[in-house]
Amino acid sequence: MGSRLVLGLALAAWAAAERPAAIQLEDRQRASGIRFVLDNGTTPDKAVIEAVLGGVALFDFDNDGRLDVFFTNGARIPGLRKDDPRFWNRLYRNQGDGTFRDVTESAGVRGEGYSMGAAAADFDNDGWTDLYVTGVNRNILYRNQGDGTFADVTERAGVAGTDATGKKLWSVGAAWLDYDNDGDLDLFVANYLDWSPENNKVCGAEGKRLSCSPTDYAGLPNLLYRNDGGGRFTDVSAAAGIAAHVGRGMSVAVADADGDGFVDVFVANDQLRNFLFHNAGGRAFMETGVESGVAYTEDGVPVSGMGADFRDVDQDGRPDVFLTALSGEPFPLYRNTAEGFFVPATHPSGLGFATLMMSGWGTGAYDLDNDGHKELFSANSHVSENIDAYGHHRYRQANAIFRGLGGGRFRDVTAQAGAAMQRARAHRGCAFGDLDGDGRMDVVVSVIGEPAEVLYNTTAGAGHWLGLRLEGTKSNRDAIGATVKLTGESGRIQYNHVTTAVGYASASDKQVHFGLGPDRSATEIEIRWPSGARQVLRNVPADQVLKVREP
Amino acid sequence: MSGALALAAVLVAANPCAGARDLKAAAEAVDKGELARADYLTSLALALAPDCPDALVLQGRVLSLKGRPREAREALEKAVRLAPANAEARYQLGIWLYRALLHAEAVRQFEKVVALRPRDARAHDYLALNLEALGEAEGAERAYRKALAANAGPSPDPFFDYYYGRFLLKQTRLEESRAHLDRAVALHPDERTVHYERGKLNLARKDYPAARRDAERALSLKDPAGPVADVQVYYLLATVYARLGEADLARKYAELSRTTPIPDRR
Repeated sequence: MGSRLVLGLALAAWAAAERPAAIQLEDRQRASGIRFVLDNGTTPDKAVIEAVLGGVALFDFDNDGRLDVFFTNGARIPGLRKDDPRFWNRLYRNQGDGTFRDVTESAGVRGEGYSMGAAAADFDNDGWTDLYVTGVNRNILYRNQGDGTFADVTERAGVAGTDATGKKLWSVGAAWLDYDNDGDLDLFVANYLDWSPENNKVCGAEGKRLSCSPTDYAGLPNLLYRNDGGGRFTDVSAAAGIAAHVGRGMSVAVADADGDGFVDVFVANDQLRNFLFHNAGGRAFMETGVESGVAYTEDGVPVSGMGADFRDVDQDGRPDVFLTALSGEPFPLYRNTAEGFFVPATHPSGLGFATLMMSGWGTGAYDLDNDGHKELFSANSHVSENIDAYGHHRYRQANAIFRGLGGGRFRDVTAQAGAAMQRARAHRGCAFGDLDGDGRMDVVVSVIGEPAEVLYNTTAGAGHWLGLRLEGTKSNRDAIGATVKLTGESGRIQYNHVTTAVGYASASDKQVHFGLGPDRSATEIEIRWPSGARQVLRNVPADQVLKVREP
Repeated sequence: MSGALALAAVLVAANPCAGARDLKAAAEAVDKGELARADYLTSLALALAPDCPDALVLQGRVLSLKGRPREAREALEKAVRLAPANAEARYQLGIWLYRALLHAEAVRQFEKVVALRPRDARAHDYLALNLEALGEAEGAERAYRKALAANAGPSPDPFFDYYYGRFLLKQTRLEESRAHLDRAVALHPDERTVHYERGKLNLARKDYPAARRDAERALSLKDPAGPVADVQVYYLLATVYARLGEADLARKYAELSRTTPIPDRR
């Protein structure tokens, strides 16, 4: 009785102290030294590839404890070659003083072909984060050599993004995951359309061409590469039940949907039902999007699925699915229920009407004000550069923040989030992480034709926080797939998991972030490692990044 | 200019439709879908009175029916330009804009229509639909309520209840939604759309047997050109059967919702 009373009082204090801090994001691109401009090689005919590039990755490539930034970039059309430095992918090293240095050439990551997305993780468990870059005509696996340079190991590793006949598939999103829990990371690649310069279609009136609909092209199957160790992978797409499902994949996000200890895979498809690949014990996948309730909207129709995050947004311990879509389609939110299926929560969450006129790309569910509720961020812009000429929609759009209110409800707070959040631009991918180590999650957004946005979180009065950097020993070293249950001193329970596959064709920091509100400590942190090991930490003080090694 | 011509010019200026004949017959033909007759009569009227707004409105409707949307819009916009207070011209232009998904422009037209014809239930309803499509929920709610109020009478349009019930379902106001969707079904029992929507409502209410009845009824009412495609009904059925534990049926309709092509409504 006494402990319940104390808990009740603590929760009441939590609620009383929970004054919403106005979330503020400030663009410090100019001072940062990041000069990256996403160049899609735009042409008068507006080839479909021009609209859908722009992945970003935030990861610490040199292990100095600071997040660095990688941007993918386009190429000249129709040659699809990076024949000018303006098309290079770019890596910026965080110098720790708010500035970044372009280390693209010294690191050897300027890339080849028309690039799309990025996935970052330590695939060989050597302690250095590696990088996979997707693209139209070239996918590249860069092995981090630990000396500030990367080596292209694509061919040796066998992850070139080709089908069984050797044809290169147009890849957009990618995710690192340990689907078989064998302790090394496998690779899932989401493929989009069967496009080439030779079969390019032209849509819209001359002088105001539009990006053609994805339905004008055949879709593609996705790829799953199993990590065999020794730097080699095997394409198990067919054997694992992935290749049989032809989609129009744009993004991929991973989480253990049903708590069975095996990571499941969500693929957002463009104008086609979404896929949920249920992991059957690490041996194969069953596509259960329809049965699970994430294939279509509540109206039984597909959306133009773009970016996705597969994360628990209502703090019930089950990862939910949120994705961005095109204007005229609300951004769908699917709530994972205790009954073993998802239910559409787009309108009940408050997101339905709020997102109806937005076109979103990058997205992520992160607690931006550290109040214990995750926000939803979306990087916005319409697909077609000339859409304004048709009167329906606007090409350049402002990004958006939907504040988590608890209970899976959200409110659009973009208007109060600062000048940087009001700028209408051609935003694309985005990645999340704490660039300056102040405990507040920052966002980097790529923008077609303009400098990238380096959005520092300057929210005043943000709550306490805790960052967890997990290191697997039996599990994969990045601990991707590990789930974390945190109980704050007030008794409030939160959930999250380790993943870098977040949003649109992008990779966010692997660090697990919790906002704690007024709680100055976590009374208990329970980690379930992909190996099956369970670890409990007690009475952990807030406002620190805690490194945890798998026991 | 002769005296007779001058007089004619004055009369036309005062009433640009003075020379137009058979406008009423043309309107009836459009309403009945008698396209050839409507086209002939409208052309005749416009030949005699090229700036007659009412004739231009009819021309716009005829051109829409003939699949010439750009010319239809030009005719309707000309009618509005010539007669800004012509509610019917704005109403028809608003419908054109709504169908073209130009919701913001449609709202501007319907706001003027309801100012000119405050008892026009359909105009309020179109205003609500367009506001809803823009995500303006509060304005849509007000307009729906006005549409329903104006719709009261001996032969109400059942779709007003359908649209408002659907809107309330999105707002998660389930019991209010139920009242309107029940009424829509009662008024229009052979319409797939209303059964489908009530099936969704009953699914949200976790009344799975009722959801099953509605979904099965929707399935039985074929409507190839209607707003609810077969694949949508299959997905609803797959979900409802799964909730009811009808594994075989759930599997059957899940497979159908995977394999049935989605109509291209561009």
